Amino acid sequence: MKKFSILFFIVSTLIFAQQKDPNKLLNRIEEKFNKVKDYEVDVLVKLDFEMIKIPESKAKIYFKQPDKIKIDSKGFAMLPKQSTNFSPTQFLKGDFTALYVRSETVDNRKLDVIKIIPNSDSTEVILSTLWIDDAEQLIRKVETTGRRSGTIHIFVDYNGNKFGLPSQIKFEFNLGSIQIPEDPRQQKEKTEDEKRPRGRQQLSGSVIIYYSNYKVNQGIADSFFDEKKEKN
Amino acid sequence: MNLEKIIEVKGLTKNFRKLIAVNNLDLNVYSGDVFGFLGPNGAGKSTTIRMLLSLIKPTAGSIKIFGMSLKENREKILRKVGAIVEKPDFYMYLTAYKNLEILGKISGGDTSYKKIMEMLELVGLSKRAKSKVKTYSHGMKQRLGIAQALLHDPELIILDEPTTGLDPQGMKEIRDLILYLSKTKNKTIFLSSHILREVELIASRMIIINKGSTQVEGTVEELLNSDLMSVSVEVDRMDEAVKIIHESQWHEKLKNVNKKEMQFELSKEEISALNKFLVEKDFAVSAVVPVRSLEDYFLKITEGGDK
Amino acid sequence: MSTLIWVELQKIYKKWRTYIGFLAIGVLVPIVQIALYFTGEGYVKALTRNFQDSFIFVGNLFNGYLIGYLLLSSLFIHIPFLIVLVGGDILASEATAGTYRMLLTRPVSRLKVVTAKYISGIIYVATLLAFLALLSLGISCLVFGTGELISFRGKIIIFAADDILWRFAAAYGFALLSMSTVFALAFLFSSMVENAIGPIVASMAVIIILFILSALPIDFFKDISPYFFTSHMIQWDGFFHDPVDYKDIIESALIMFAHIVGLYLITTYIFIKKDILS
Repeated sequence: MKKFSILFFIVSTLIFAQQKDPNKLLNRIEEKFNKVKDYEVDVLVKLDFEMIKIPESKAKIYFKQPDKIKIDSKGFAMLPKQSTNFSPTQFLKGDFTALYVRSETVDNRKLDVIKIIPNSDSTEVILSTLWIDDAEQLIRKVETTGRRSGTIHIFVDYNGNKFGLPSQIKFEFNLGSIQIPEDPRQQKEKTEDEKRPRGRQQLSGSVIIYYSNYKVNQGIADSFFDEKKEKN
Repeated sequence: MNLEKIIEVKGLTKNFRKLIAVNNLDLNVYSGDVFGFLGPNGAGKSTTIRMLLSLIKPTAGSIKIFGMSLKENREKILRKVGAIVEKPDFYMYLTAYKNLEILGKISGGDTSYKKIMEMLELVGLSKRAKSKVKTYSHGMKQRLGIAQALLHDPELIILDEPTTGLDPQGMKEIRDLILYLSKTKNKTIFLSSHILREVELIASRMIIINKGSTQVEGTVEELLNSDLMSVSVEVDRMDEAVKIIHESQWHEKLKNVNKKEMQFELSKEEISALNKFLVEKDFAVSAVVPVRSLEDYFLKITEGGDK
Repeated sequence: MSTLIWVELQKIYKKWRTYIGFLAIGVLVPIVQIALYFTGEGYVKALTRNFQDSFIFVGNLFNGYLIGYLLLSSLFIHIPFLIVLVGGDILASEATAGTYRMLLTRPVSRLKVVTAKYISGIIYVATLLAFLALLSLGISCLVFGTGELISFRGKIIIFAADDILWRFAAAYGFALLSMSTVFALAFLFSSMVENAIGPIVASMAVIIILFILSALPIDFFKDISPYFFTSHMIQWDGFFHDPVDYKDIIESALIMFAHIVGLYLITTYIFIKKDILS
C-alpha cells in the first residue's frame, strides 16, 4: 500500500499540481482518530423506511483500536454497518486509489471532496466519496456505493467533540430494487398492504443515529470484546 | 278420604302430527293417594306423565298440580315433585353421588354429604356411592332413580314403571318403599304401570287408560273387589247342564255358553251355591274358575283386543 | 343460575371428550415449538434478508413472542374443530343419554338451563384458548425469551417488546369471540337433534364450506364472503398491524357478536319449544 501511495503521490503531484494531496488529508484524519484508543457510547437509532417499521432502539457501542467492536442492546436494534465504528479507517481498508476531486463550501465550511476507489474487484464497496473538513480533520459527509447495499449518503455531525467522534449521523439509503419477502405463513387474506403487486421495489429510507455519553480512553480490556461476539 | 286434589287433569290431549297419543284425558289424584295409572304399552301413559312434568306441551287441555296451573307455575310445582320418567338415565361418566348432588342442587334441595348418603342408604346403594353410574346394573340405576326422585323431599312422587326390569325381590323392595313413602311419609304417589297386579298390591285409587283415553276409574277396592265376578264352569254332559240351568233361577246369571264352559256373573256366595246346585243335579263339576271382570277386561286390552 | 353453571361445568369437565381439545393442543404446540426451534430463524432471516448487507442486527428477534404468534396463526383455523366437539355434544348428549328427563323435570326454567349451558360452553372455549395461550405464548417465552416481535404485512413491522403483550391479549380476546361464534353454531345444531355426531359433523361442514367458499378465486364468492362469519374470525391478526385498524376489527367483532346472540336466541327458542321425547 505504501509503495502504491508513493507512486500515486508522485503521479497526482504531477497531474494535479495545484490540488491537495488526498492521502495527506486522509492521513491527518486518521491521525486524529488514532488518538482515540477506546470508547463506549450510547446510541439511539431511528429508522425511517417504507419497507420496515421499527420502534426507536437503544444500544451501547464499545470500540477499541484497531477494530474491536462490541454492541450491547437490551432489545433488538438494527444499525447501519457504517455506524458502529464511524471512523475514517472503515473507508480506507485495503488497497485503494484516492482522488482529489474538488473543493466545496458547505455551511460555510470549506470541504475537500475525495473519491476512494478500491483496487480490488471483490470488495463490497465500489466507490466512496468523502467530504473532508481539513480544518478540523473530520469527515462531514460520505457517499458510498456498494455492490449489494446500494448507495448510501452519510451526513455526520460532531457537535464539537474533541476526539472527532460523531454526535449524530444520518444515513440515507437507496438499496436499489429488492425482492419483497414473501410472508412465509401464507394463510391469511391479503390485507390492503399486501395487495400491492409483489416483486421488486425500491428500498429507500433513512436512519438517524444519535450518539451520546462518550467515555473515551477509559482502557477497555481486550477480553471484554471476546465475551459473546455480536453477530453481524 | 282427604279430598284435596293434588293433580287435576282436564281434557288433556296430545297429538303428534296425525297420531293422537292422549285423547281428552281427565284424571284426579288426591292427597295421600297411591294412584295407579294403568294401561298397556302405548296407551299414552308416558306421554301423559311427560305432560305432567312439562317435558311435552299438551295440544289441548289443562293440568293443575297442587291447585296451580302447570303452565304458569311450572317451577313452583316441580320443586315439590319428584319423578322417574321411563328408564332412569343418569350422567354415566359421573358417580352416583355426583349425579345426586347435581340433580339435588338444581332442585334446590339439601345436598349435604349426609343427606345424599342417607338417600343412597335408603335405596341400598351407599356402598357404591363413588362408582360411576356406567358400572351400575339396570336394577341399581332403577334404585338410584328413586333416590333422585326423593332427594329434594317432594310432596308428589311420579313413578313411571318403576319396577320394569327388576327381579321379583327388587320389585318387592320397590313396592315396600312406595308403601313406606305413602303410609309413613304421607307422600302422594302417582304410579304408572302396565301390570294390574302391581297396581292392585299398592294403589288406593286407579285409572285404566287405553289409546289415550280413560277406560275405567275408581278406587282399587271398588274396581277389583266388586262382588260380581266372571266365573267359568266346566261340567260333564254340558248340553244337559245348560238346559237345567235355563230352567232354574240361575239362567239370569248365565252370560255365555260354549262347548267347553258356561260363563256366569256371580258374587262370592253364589259361586258355592251354584256349585252345590250342579252337584245335587248329579253333574261332575270339573272346574269353577272365577275371573275378576276388571282383570278379564285388562287382559283383553293388554293382549291387543278391544272391549 | 350460578348453581346451574356449576352443574354444567361439572358435566363438561368430567367428560373425557372435553379433553380432546386440550390434548390436541398439548401435543401440537410442543411439536410445532420443537420444529420452530430448529427452523424458525429462517423465518426471521427471510424477512430481513434485504437489510442484512447494510445493517447489523443486535438482539433476538427469534423469541417466544414470535413463536407464540406463529403458533396462534397456524393453529387458529384448527381450533374450531376442537370447539365443536364439545359444542355439538352439549345439548344432544343429554338427549342421547336420556338425561333431559332428569334435568328438565327440575324446578328451573328451560331458558335458564340453555343459558347456563351456553355460558358454560363459552367458559370451556375460554379455558381452551387460555391453555393455548399458556402453552404457545407462555412456554415459548420461558424457553425462547421475550423481545421484539417481527411481523410482516406487506412491509416488515417490528413491535417494541413492551408493545406486544396487549396485542396478544386483544388477539386472544378476539379469538374468544370467534370461537364462541363457532361454539354457538355447534350449540344450535346440538339443540336440533338427539345425537352428538350430527351437530359436530354439521358444524365442521359449515365452517369448512365457508372457508373454502371465501378462499375460492371467484368474484361472486369474494363479494359474499364478508357475510360469512368465518371471514371475520381471522381479524385477531388485525392487532398485529401497525397502525391497528380498529374500525375493521370492531366491525368484525360486532358481526361475530351478532352471530353469537342470534344463534343463542334461535337455540333458546328451539329448546324451549321442544317436546322431550328421548
